[in-house]
Amino acid sequence: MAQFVLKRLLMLVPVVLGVSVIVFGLLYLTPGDPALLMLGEHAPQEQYLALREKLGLDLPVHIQYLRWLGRALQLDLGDSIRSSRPVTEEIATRLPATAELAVLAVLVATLIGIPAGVISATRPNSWLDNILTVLALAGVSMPVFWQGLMLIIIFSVYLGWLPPSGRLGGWEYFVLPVITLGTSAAASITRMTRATMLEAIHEDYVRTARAKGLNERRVIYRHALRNALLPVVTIIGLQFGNLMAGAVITETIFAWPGIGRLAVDAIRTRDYPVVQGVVMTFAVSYVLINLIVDLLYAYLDPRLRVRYH
Amino acid sequence: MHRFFGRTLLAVALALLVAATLIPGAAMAQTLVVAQGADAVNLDPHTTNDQASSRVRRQIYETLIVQGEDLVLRPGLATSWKQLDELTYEFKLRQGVKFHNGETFKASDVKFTFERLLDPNTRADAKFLLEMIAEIQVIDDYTIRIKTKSPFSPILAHLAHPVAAILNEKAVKEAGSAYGTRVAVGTGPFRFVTWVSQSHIILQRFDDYWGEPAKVQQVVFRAIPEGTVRAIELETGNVDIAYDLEPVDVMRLESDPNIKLHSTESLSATYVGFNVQKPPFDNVLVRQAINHAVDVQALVDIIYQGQAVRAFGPLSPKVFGAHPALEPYTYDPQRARELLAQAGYPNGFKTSIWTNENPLRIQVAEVMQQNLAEIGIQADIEVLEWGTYLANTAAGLHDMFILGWVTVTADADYGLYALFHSSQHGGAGNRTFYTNPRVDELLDFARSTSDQDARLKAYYEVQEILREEAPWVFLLFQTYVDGTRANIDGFVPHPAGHHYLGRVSKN
Repeated sequence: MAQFVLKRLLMLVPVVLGVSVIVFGLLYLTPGDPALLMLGEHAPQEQYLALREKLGLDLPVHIQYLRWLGRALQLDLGDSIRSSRPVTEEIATRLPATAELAVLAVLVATLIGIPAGVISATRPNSWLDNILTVLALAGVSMPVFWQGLMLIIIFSVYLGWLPPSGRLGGWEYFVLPVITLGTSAAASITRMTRATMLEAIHEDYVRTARAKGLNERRVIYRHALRNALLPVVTIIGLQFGNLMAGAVITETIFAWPGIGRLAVDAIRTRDYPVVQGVVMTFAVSYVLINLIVDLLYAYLDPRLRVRYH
Repeated sequence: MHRFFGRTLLAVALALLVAATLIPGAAMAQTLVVAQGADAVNLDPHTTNDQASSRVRRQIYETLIVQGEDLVLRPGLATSWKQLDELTYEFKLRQGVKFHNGETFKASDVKFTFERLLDPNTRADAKFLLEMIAEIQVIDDYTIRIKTKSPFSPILAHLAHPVAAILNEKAVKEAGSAYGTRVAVGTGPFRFVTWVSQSHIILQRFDDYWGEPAKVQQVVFRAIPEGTVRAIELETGNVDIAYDLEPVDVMRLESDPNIKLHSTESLSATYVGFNVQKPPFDNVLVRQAINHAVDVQALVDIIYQGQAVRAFGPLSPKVFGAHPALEPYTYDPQRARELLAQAGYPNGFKTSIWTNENPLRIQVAEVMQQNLAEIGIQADIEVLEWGTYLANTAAGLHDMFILGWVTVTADADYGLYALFHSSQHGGAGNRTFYTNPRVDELLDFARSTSDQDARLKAYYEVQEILREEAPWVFLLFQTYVDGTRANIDGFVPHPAGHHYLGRVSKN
């Protein structure tokens, strides 16, 4: 297993390097002089020259990249042009808020999605299955923005049960953003679980288990689900990655102080060091989550471990 | 599997519990909660010059001179001032003023503050506002003299701008790079307590404040980016004051008896600029024709939905020096066609309108496109990325462009000099490349004389010339709507947007 983990970790290096080239390139893909773009309308000449020098814009591009990469490896992503705070500090203060939201959303989505999928699959084409399928379809298709506002209108304005926005302490602030963020993930997980469970139920080993006289619950949850879960784990992992990056809209609606809003603000104000840092963080967390999913896979399916030896 | 679910449930419960205990809820009594669209960026006035930060800093810091909501200049940390000669102003400073860290306010703090602001290494956005200062002399602990590089009469208005707030030398030096994010020390009615980035900032009443103490004990500034959510927070009573309400929300809140709406005419002008050096816009008749062709009132009513007033000239009526009786260009396509024919373009011409990605400006361009088509001018709309937009209009590559300007000091000098003086062509502000020796002369004169009546006269003449020569299509001045709960008293919005909360009370 250790060797497997090590191999997977080594495979991350080229991926992350590739991402870093693109992230660095962001600054140069946009038209115009980056220093001018960052400073905007009223910047005096000396400020412009100072920033050019600070960014090292007068050096050849590959030297600039290597310098940037060297610093990035030491977790120095430069300072935000806007707030003058180190980019790593900006990210470190926001990341927990987003992670919190994403973890809870995935947990809730999993807790809803897997049982709903199992129920659907064990009673195919029943009225319960039909309702769950329609709900899942609605969940996948509903625009996050609209859903967030509707939830606020129902639970904050009409019922007055929950605060409309903010992260000011207390579980009540989590409910609406977690539901908003988790809905589409829950729907995807439901659909995936239903599909893989339907397949698993018709496998030979399930028939064998039933023939052995095991009770139905044990057959479904011990035998069928364990095998049906593999693709579902992938979906959950992917969803988690999506949620980390996809929290942008949810965080904006609910005034949630996460990394998604940091990204939006940085892009809007052309704060390139922050944009680079956030994109890099998204990419690395996506890659890491994929790694964790792969490891989980290997844990769930011993055959995979053997293949890497 | 059962065990797996059991463990995750426990984890969820634990996570929620931890989250619940992390941030203590603010005591709601005597706490004023204010919602704005963005979080502050930095509480050091010598960094960014954004509105969200200014609104918080205004409560923490004070300036030598205060510009009230009526835009009149009054004593602040300076009790009196006089002009000694053309270049020198002397200020007597207020005694017995304490900074939030217990230090006493003295002349050396003023010198330190302005020198820090002007130091290029500080990289202050708003450095240009005080760039006219040549030297600051400390005469004694409570007297300073400010010398300007050349005669500059609007200096008092510049010193009243929130970025000219006075910092405490010791606090700044002690805090180092933490100043502005973890530390902010001023002399104002509220002192800085904590800041949870992108969420909220908490200020506490400063008990040793020299002036009238603040009416509430605590102010919480919350950042709520979505306009509708900000309105809902006000509606549900979770916030006491919400800034910058959007037209669609205003319509709904108008009928709510628990909410008071405050509409303020701002200091910002939105205009269409011509490239007056490029044919056919070098012909004044063409520019006048376009001014007659655009249905400005329709733009104001339909696109801005009443959150703007029509502009007759370049300066909002609130600005010192604004012409009180400029005659507006009437919407008159027939007259426009005649002027165009006189100019030698009876069949119109092809041109382009540039704008950035601002949705309101794009709509303005679309309405203008229709208006111009009626008089035979075929205009293409080009939406440019902001950086390119600024660079290309500064380089003079445009025909027509839509931009805004905020006269932050509420003095005509700020609203006219950069935009119409021939020394300011391009990126400095004069993107129409307008040149008129008489306008230059008047603007230079008005900047250097301290005779306020003479200044007014000069500015009136400039505006009459500009109205006639029409380097702009004068469009509109935006108004801002803020909302408060009905139990909030004493909230008076400032036209520049940085509202003072020291007199606000909650009943």
